[in-house]
Amino acid sequence: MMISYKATKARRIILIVCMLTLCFCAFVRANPPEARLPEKHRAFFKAHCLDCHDSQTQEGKVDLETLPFRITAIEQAELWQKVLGTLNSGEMPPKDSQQPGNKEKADFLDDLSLTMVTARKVLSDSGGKITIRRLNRRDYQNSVESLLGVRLDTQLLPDDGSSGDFDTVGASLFLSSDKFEQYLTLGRQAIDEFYERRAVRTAKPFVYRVEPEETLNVALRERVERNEEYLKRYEALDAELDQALALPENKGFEAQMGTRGNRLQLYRKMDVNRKKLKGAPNPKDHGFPSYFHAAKFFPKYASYSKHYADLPYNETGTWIQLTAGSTMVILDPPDDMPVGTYTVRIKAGVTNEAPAFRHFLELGHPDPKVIARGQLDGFPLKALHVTGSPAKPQLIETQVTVNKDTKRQFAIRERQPAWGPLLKKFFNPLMNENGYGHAPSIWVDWVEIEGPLPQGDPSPLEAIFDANPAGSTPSELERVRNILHQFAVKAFRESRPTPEFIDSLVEVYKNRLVIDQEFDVAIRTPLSIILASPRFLFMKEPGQDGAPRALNDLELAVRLSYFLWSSPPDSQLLELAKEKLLRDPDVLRGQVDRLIQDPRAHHFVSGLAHQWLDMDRLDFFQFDVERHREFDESTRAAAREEVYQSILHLLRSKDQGQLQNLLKSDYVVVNGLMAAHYGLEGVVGDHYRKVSLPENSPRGGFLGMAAIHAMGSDGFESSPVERGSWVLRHLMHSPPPPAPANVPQLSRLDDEPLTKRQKLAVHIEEAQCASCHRKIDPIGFGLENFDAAGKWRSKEHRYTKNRKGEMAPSRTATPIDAAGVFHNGPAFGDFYELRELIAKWQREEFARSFTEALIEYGLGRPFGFTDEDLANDILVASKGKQYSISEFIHVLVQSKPFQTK
Amino acid sequence: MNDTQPARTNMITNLQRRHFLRGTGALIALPTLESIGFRRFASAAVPAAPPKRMIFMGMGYGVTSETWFPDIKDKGAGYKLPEGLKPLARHKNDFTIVQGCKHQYSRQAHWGSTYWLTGANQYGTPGQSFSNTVSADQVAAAQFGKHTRYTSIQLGTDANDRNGHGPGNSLAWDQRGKPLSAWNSPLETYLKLFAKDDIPLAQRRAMLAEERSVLDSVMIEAKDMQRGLTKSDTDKLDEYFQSIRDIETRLSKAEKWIDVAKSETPFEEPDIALVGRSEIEMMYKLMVAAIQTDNTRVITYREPGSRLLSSLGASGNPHNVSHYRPGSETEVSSKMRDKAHSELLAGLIDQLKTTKEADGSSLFDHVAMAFGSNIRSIHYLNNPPTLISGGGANLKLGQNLVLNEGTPLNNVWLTMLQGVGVDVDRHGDSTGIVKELQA
Repeated sequence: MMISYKATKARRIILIVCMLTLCFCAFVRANPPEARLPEKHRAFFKAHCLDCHDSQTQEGKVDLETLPFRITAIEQAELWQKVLGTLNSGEMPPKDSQQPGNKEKADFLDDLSLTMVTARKVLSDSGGKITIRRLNRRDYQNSVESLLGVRLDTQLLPDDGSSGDFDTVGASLFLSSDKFEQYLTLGRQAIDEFYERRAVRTAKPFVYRVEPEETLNVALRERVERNEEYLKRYEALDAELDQALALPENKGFEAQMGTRGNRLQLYRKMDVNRKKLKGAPNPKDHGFPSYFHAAKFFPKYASYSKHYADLPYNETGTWIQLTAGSTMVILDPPDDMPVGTYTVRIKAGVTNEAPAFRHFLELGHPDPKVIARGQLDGFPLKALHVTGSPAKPQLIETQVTVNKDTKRQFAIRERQPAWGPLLKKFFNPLMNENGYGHAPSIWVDWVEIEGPLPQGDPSPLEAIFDANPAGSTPSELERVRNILHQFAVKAFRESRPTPEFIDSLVEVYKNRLVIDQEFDVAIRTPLSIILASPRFLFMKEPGQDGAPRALNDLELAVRLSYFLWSSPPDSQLLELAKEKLLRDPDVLRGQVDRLIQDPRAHHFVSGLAHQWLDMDRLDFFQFDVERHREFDESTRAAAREEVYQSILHLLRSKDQGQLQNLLKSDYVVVNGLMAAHYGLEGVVGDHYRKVSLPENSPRGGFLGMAAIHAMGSDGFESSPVERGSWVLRHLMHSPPPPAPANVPQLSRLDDEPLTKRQKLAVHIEEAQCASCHRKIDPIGFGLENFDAAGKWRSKEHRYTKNRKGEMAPSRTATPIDAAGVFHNGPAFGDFYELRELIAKWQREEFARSFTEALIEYGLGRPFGFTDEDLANDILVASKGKQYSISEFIHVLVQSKPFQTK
Repeated sequence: MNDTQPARTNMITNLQRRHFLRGTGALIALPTLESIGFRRFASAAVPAAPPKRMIFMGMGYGVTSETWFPDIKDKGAGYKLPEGLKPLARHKNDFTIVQGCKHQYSRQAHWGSTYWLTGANQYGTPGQSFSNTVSADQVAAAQFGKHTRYTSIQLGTDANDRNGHGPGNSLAWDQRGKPLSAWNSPLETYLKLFAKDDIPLAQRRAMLAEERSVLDSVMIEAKDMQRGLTKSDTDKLDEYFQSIRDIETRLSKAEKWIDVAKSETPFEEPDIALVGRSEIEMMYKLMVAAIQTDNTRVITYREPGSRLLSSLGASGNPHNVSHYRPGSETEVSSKMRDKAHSELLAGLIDQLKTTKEADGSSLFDHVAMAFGSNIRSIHYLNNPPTLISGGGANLKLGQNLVLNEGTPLNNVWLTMLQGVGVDVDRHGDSTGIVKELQA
C-alpha cells in the first residue's frame, strides 16, 4: 500500500487509481433487504459470548445461542443491541475471561453496529406508505404568501422538528392543540397584514435621504473639540501632578499607593490621599470636580475621532467607524411609513488600502440602546459590497420589506463581529500600534429609502374582494358566502369545501359583525379559520389501504409544486391539471423544467440541502472573534447560501449540471463576500455567479466550501471527527453508526502538548473506538488544511495549558500533515489527493447519497428498503445523463411511487 | 466563544417578538382566553387539603460525573455532599440522589430528554423510525389536570438551544406518545398565566361562544376531510381532532371560572431579554407562581444549555462541555454549569418552602419533583443524574440512595407517581416501585 513519494504527483495519482479497483471494494455496499451479521464473525461470537451465554448456561439469564445472525424482529434487534452495548462499554467479555484481539474486536463491532443500522431500517420500513402531510413551516409560509401576498416572519411559525426525519415526512409532522392555536393566531395576523397592504395600494411613494456629513460629521467635530479642550485641562493637571511626584519629599508615594505606574489607578486613589502628596494640584483648578472624574471621563477615543475628522472627503460624506463614533448612518423615516417594499440606495466608496473583508456594509435595524457602538437589533438584513472609491463613489441598491410590526428605522454600518471582542482583540491592540485604532475603510456619501414601491399583481384574496364588491349581490350575506367559498377553494388548493362548512363560517361572520360593526373587520375571523382548517393544513390524498391508486392530475400538481417550490401550484399547473394533461410524461417533464427555473425552486434546494447535509450544525456555534473575525453573521449567511447556489446552478444548468461537480469543480458559485473570504479577486457585487478558479485551488466542490468546514468545527477549532463523519455520511454513502452510548472516553493525552492528530491517536488503541474512528479520523485529518472558518492554512498551533491553566495555542506553529490512508483503501499525500480520490471514486456512492435524500424529501417518507428499486432506477437513468441533477428529479417525478397514493 | 449575543436568538427584533407574544388583540387568539383571571379555579370551594403537584426539570446534557455524584460507597443519610451539589447544602435533608438506574432502551447518546420521562424504545413501533410513549408527567396530568386551568404546563427555551435534549417539543409526550409543545420564554409564560384582561364579562362570554363556533366549524371540515383516508392518514388526522378536543376541554374550564374575580399578578412582567441563568431563575419563579395559584399541578421544564453557559461567561458549547476533559477549560465550564444548576435549584426549593398554603403548610410539602437527564455525562447513559425532592410523595429524602445497577428509571417515576396518589400500577418498562425510596 505504500506509495513512492518520489514519483511525480501525476504518476502517484495514476498509481492510486490502479490500486483502487482492487481495494475499494470496502466502499461498495451491497443492499440486501435483510440485516445479517456476516457469518465470519461466528467464531468470535462463539469464543467470547457463547461460552457463558449459551442455552445451557444462560449466565445472567441471557441466552444468545438461539439469537439468529439474520435479524428479522424487534426483539432480536434488542438483544443484539445489548450485545453491542456491553461490548462498547467494555462490560463484556468480563475482565477475568479471555479477551479478544483488538483488531478482531474492532472488526466485530464495526460489522455489528452497521448490521444494527440496517436492522433498524428493515424493521422501520414504511412499506411504501406515504402518510398525509401537514404543511411544514416552509410550506405554510409560502402557501400563506401565495394566497395573501403576505410573508410571515419565519421565527413566528411553529417548528416542525420532532423526530429527526425530514420536514416533508408526513408521519413525523405532529399537530397539537397549541400548534392549532398558533395557526389560528398566525392566520389572523396574516389577514390583518393583508388589510394593511390593501389599504395602501395607492399610497404615494416618498423619498427620505440622509447626508451623513450634516449629522455624523457635525457630531464628530464637536467631539473632537470637546476632547481637545478636555485634554488640555487634563494635561495641565497631569503635568502639575508629575511635578509634585518628582519632589524629593514625595519619594515613594507611588509605591505606597501600590499603583505600579498605572495612571488611572493613581488618579482613583488621589482624591483620598491628596493630603499625603506634598504640592499636589487641586483638580478643581483645572475644571475637574475630582481626580476620579478627570480619569473616568478621559476621552480614550480622542485620537480615533481626531484621525477620522482629519480625513479627506469629509465635506461631502462620512468615513464609517467601527466600535465607537460614527458607526452607523441611521435612516429614520416617519413612523407612519406605510407597509410595503422599499428601495434603499447607498452612494459609497472604499479605500484600496482596506483588506477585502472590510469592503462590506450591513443593513439592519439599529438597537437604540447601543447606537454609539454600532449595534443592530437582531441580525443584519443584508450585506452589501462596496466597490467604488471616495473619489468615484458607486451606487448600491437593495430592497427591504416593511410589515405592520417592522421597525420603521434602518441603519447601515460596516460589517462586524460582536462588539466586545472586536474592541478588546482588535481596536485596543491597533490603537497601541498606530495611535488611533481601526484604519478607515468605507466612506458613505448618502443613504436614502424610497417607497412603497407599487404592489404587484393582486393576490388571490385581493382578486376575490375585487370580484365581489359591496352591492354585487342582493344580500350582503350572500356576498360574504361567495367570498368565503372562493377563498376556501383557493386555500384548499382547488378542492371544494362543503356547504355546511361555509354555512358555519357565515354564522361566525354574523356573530362577529355584531361586535365589529363593519364588514372589513368581521370578515377577518372566518377567513382566518379557513387558514387553520385541516384541508389547508394537510394535503389530502384519499386512498385505500392495500390498494394503491394513481394520483389524479390535481393531486399530482399539488405534490409536484410542494416538492419543487414548497408552495401551492400556480395557475399554469392548475390549468394543465384541469385539462388532465399533467400526467402526460412529456408535459410533466416540461413542467419540471419550468418549475426548477422559477425562483421558487430555491425553497426546494434550501429545504433539501439543509436537511440532507445536516446544515443545522452551521448555526450551533458563535465563532471566536479573535481567531475568526471574518466569520461573522454575514459570512455565516453567505456561506450557507453558497451551498444552495452551487446546487441551484447545477439544477438550472442546461449542459453542465453534473452532480459530481459538488465533489470537485474548477469553479465556485459565489458573491463578492464569499470571494473575499476565499481570496478570489474581481468578484463584484452581492449576487451569486459562477467564477472560474485558478489551477490547484483547494476550492470548488463541497470540500472547498466554508460552510462545510465551519459545520465541522466548534467555532474555534476544526473537528476532524465531525468532518470525517460528514464525508463518510454524505459523500461516500458509508455513514458511521450513531455515536454509541457508554463508550469510555479517552483522556489520557489531554494535557500533553500534542497536535490534534497525535491526541486522537488514542482512538486507535481501543477496539470500541477504532471500529469507527479508523474510518473517520484519516479523512478528517485530510481536511485539516481548512480552519474552523474554512480558510486555507498550512500550519496549526498545538494547544497546551498556559500559566493560568487555560488551554492556549503554542507560540510556534506546526506544518499540517494531511496525508492519510482510507480504512482498507488507498493512501493520499495531501488534501488535493484526498479530494481527487473522492471525486473520482465516490461518484456513484455520492449519487446514491443524493438519491436517497431526494426520495425522502420528495416522497415524504424516510428512505427505506421499499425505495431501493426506485433509487436504483434513478441512479441508472441519471448515470445515462452523466448524473445531471435535473435528471434525478425527472426520474423521481415520472416514477410510479411519486404518482401513487 | 462566549461573546455578547446569545447564539442566533434575535432573528426578529424583540419588539416584534413581544408584539407577537401579546397576540394581535385578535379575539380569535385562544391563548389569551386562558388568562382570564388567575385565581384558583376552585376557589369557591377551597379544598380541605392542599393538592399534590409534580415538577420535572431536564437539563439535556448531563453533569460532571466526578464532582456531581456522591460516592457510591458513602450511602445513606450521612453522605458527604460533593462539590457539584454544595449549593444545595442547606436543603441536604430535603432531597435524595438516586443512583444506579437506567432506561434499558435508551441508546441515543445526545438525547437527554426525549425518553427521560418515558423510557420508550425508539424503534418500538414496527414500520416507524421513531416512536415514543406517554411521559410520567402526563400520567399525573391525566388525573390532576381535571382540577386546574392548565392540565399541565410545559416550559422550554429558545428554539436554537435544544442541543442535548433530543427530539421533542418539551419533556412531555402525550398518551399516544406525541410531543407536547412548551412555552419557550419567561415572558410568554408570564403572559399566558397572568396577562391582564380588561374585557367585560359579557364580552368574554361571547368570546367563549365564538371559540366554540370556531371549533365547530373546523370540526365540520375535519369530518368531511376524514372521508376516504387510509388508516395511517386517519391516524394522522386524529391529531387534529385531538387538538380540538383538548381545546374544548380548556374552554369548558374557562367557562367554569369565567366569573371568578381576577387576582393581582404576583410580580412584574419579566424582561424579554432574560438569557440562561436569569431565564431559568425567572422560570422557577413562574413555576412556583403557577402552582401557588393552582393554574396547574403538573409542570415540566426543558432547560436551556448553551444560553446557560453563555450567561455564566463559560466557554464552550453544551456538547463540547459534555465531553469535558480533566483539567481543561471544558471541565471548568462543566462544573460552572453544575454549580449554577444547583444554586438555581436551591433557590427553587427555598421558594417552595417559604410559600405557604391556606392551611399553613408550605408548597414544598405537597410537591414531588425530579431534576436530571437521561445522559449522565459524555456519552454515558447508565446512572443518569437523578435528584428527587419535595415532600408531596412521602419519599425518604436526605439520602444517597444507591440501587442495583440497571434498575429501571421508570421504577423511580412509578414510586413518585404512586407517592402523590396517581392511580397507576406501572409506567413504561417499570418492574415495581423502589421501596428504599419510600419513607
